[in-house]
Amino acid sequence: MAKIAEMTQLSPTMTEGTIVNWLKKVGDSVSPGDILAEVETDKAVMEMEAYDSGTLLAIIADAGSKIAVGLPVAIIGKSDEDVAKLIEDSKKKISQVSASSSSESKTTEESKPEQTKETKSESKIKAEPEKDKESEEVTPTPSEINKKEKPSETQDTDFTATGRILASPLAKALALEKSIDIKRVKGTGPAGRILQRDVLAYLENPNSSKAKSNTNLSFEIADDIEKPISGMRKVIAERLTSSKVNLPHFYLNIEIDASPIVAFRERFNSALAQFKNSDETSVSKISINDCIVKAVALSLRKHPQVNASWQKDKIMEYGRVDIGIAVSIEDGLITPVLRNANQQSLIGISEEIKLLADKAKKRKLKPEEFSNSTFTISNLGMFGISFFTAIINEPEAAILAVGTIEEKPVVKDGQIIAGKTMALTLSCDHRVVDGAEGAKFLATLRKFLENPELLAS
Amino acid sequence: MGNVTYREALNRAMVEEMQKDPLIFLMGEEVGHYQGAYKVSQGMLDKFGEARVIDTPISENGFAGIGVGSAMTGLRPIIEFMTWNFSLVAIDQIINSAAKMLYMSGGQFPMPIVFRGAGGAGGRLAAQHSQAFESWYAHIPGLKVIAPATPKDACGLLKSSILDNNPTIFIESEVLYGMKGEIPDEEFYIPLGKADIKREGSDISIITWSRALGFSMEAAEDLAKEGINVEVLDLRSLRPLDIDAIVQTVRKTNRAVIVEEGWPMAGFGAHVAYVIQKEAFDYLDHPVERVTQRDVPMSYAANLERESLPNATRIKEKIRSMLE
Amino acid sequence: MLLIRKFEEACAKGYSTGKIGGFLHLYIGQEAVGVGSIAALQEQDYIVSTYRDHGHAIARGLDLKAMMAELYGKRTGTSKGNGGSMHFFDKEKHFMGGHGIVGGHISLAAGIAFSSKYKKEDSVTMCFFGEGAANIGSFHEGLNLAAIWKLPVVFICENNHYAMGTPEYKALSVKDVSIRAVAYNIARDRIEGDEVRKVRDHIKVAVDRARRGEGPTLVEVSTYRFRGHSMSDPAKYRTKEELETHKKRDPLFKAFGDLIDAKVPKEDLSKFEEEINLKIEDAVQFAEESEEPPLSWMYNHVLAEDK
Repeated sequence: MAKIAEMTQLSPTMTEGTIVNWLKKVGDSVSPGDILAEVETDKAVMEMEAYDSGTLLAIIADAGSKIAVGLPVAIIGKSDEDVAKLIEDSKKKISQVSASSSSESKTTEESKPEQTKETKSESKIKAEPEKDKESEEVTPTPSEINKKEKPSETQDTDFTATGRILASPLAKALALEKSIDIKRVKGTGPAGRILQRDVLAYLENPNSSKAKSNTNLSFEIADDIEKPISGMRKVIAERLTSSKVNLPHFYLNIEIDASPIVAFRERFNSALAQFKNSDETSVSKISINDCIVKAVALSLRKHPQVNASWQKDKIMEYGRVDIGIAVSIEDGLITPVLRNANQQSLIGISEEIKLLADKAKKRKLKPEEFSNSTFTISNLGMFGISFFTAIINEPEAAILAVGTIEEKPVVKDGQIIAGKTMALTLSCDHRVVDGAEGAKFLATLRKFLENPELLAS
Repeated sequence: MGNVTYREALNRAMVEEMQKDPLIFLMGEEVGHYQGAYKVSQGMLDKFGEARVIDTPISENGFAGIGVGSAMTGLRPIIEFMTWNFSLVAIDQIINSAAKMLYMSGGQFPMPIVFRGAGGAGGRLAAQHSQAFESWYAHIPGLKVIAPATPKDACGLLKSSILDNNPTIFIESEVLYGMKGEIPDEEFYIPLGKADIKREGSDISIITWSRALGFSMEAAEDLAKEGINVEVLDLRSLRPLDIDAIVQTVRKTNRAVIVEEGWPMAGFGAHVAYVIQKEAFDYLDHPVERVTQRDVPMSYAANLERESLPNATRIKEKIRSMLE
Repeated sequence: MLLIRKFEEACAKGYSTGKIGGFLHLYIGQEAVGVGSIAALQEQDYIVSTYRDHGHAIARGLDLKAMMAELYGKRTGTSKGNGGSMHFFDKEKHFMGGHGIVGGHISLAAGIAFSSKYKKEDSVTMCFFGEGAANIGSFHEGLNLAAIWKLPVVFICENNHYAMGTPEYKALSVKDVSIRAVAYNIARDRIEGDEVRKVRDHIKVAVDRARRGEGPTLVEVSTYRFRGHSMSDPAKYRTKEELETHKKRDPLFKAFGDLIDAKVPKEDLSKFEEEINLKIEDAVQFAEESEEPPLSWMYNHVLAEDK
């Protein structure tokens, strides 16, 4: 079976070789290692060896022709073989590949000038539309890549060496007007200057913001998400803004010794564990928050001024104690109301709160279940918050913010020991509650919480 | 509405005013018997006689001085310089006498005088006959400087200049003398100090005057085909300058290019650029640009002159680059 | 003439004490020329002068107080303080300046004459200039134009033989300035300017000629300034002897001499001098007491519509 002798790679960088002259002619016998021809490579004139044995049946590439590495140059086989077809095919192969390889090299040449041109300035891209077309017809990919990559490179220049942002006065004025951080806008003007059109484009599509730095690293920037404003969020926004703006808030903070209430709750819950419900389920445990609710309810009865509301032409001191419990739900919060908290037992409070919270999370609360509270408690202790100030739930006169129980050094009888504290912060509407009243309320609340036996009252 | 040439419009302005006020006279080289070097004063000698249409020897300094002296004593001279290039020999009379007279005399001697003539390039007239002088004169407090670009503007503004009690530098253009344009049949005046939008646009403002208006309009029409909508503001009056009109157009389009026949350094457009960045800074989306005559004395060669002038091609190139 | 002399001396004093600033060009020694020439004029005639215009202005009767105030740069000056020494103007008295550019006003004077002729008024324009101005373009153009149009103007060249530091013979291509009249085909005259009545009589001939419509005259009057070109000129370009020689021909001495010869009593002369002294004192005092122009006047009178 005749074999095709191919142009061999005679140097690491050789891609094609020119046959200078054949040292064997058709009909000669060939053995592996024989020199078939002298080939001029990119580096020098080298000797091309044969790898097959047989007779040189045909020369495909004549002396003087330039053949790429791997393409047929000769056919070696048994002397009587008919290799006409093989010759034909080989010759075809050569002409086919020559055509595309020469066009490939054409593209490479054209892309190169384009690359340099494009790095210079974007305007040149526009000035040479014809050139782009030409190369696109032949091999679209390289120039497309060039086009895509280069513009962003020039954009890097909008951070100049001094770190200044280039933006036209108009663009700056517009950005200011629309409260846009101009640093986030991609500039398309000369030298990457940010123009009016860029700010306008940013307004339409803020995702296209750039965050490029001088280091040429590209970061994975998460997309901005536009969230529609839900009904609940709207309400929260309106009510809390109104409260913050209209009510003269002031804040009183106490830090109580939380050890008693913690101990109390433990004892209570372990005692409770001995009981069972009528349906044989265990009675659910009480939480610290449940204790706080009871303590607050009892304190409010003793300080009705804090259980009140500014009613424009009068101040209403409520007889009932309905405490709103702030519950965090998906996409917002809601405040279901625990009615007559002062008359409920700890267990009653605990169960009711659980019920309300569950309903709240399932969005099954009826309007009458989350309105008309007289006081609100917000507890962020489960999130680890040490201390915070809450916004009053208008038209109430106060709200209590409860922090987490912290272990920290405390002073007892002149000694520093490890203790447990909890921060309670009362926000008051100064139109209704003065500092002294608020302070007295908190003092009472502290008494209840630091002497939790009183919660049985 | 009639259709007349620029030179006919000027003629009409002078004739109308001279018919009304016998104290107005025209003085200059070849204004009388020759009918005007550019035929601007055609027929005026016959109408008004040698006492009021006065041919002079080649003595610009002399007859400019005569103009100043007669203006001091109640006459209202129109002094013609054949071209403004020749005003250089008389510039002492214009600046040191005419412009400053009222001030130096503490208000006693106003100068109701018009100096008029052709300014800018005329067409292969070479270096000494092709200069634009508006920045020279606009620099001087006490003068008014007017440069109309159309027959209608030329007529209305010359009439107002003649009636104005200040020394007025009225710059025409040889190239424009033959230009035809619409003009009202009834008598009309155009106030000094008011610019005119010659073409409404939205993408960019060209601010220009005199002959450069022609190049600007040509460029604007061509660019319209490319989808670029150019607004063209013809200043008409350089001193006093219509700052409001300039600011208004820049606020509208956010880009300004000044096109002028003068040279770039310290040309009048440089002052306009200052005014724009000062008064309309926050409305600019691009630095203010200028297309001027190239910074060379005017060559005689036709191609060099063409390329040296602020022609439509150069204007279009500049505008395209400003919109990228 | 005495008034002029005393006024100029007061100016010299004012300048030395810093009250008067800028350039100050004194007329001392040339009084006969100005006084004699202007004596030949009538009320409706016009005068155009150079920066050495104090003498002409006083001779024409401009208000002394307003003149001194102008020199002091006060708001009560003839030009409201805007002009100074070189730019005296009085519209009512037909005193058309006071001009700073050498010779520039010569064409301007021709223009005033042109205007008179145009309006068919019976006015003659009198134009003063020095021999230095006879070399500048405006002189030549102005004379030529006045000649071809037969303008009613008298060109008076006060030849004090020094154009600043340049003596006449170095700058002038002809023997004397009046010869240039020939170049323009106008009437000419040439006299010594040390006797006031002689000056008047000669100038009157030229004035009458102009008034008759026979055209301009160039009159050269030889004279001498006893001080430098201006206050900052030490006049080192002429010898002390030369100066002393000329001082002997002081027109004031001549005038005083003639008056004494005419039997005018000495007491009258003394009284006359006293009156003049008082006038000068008044003027100086007025100038001292007047205020500078307010800053709000800065932009007045740039354009005719500014008030």
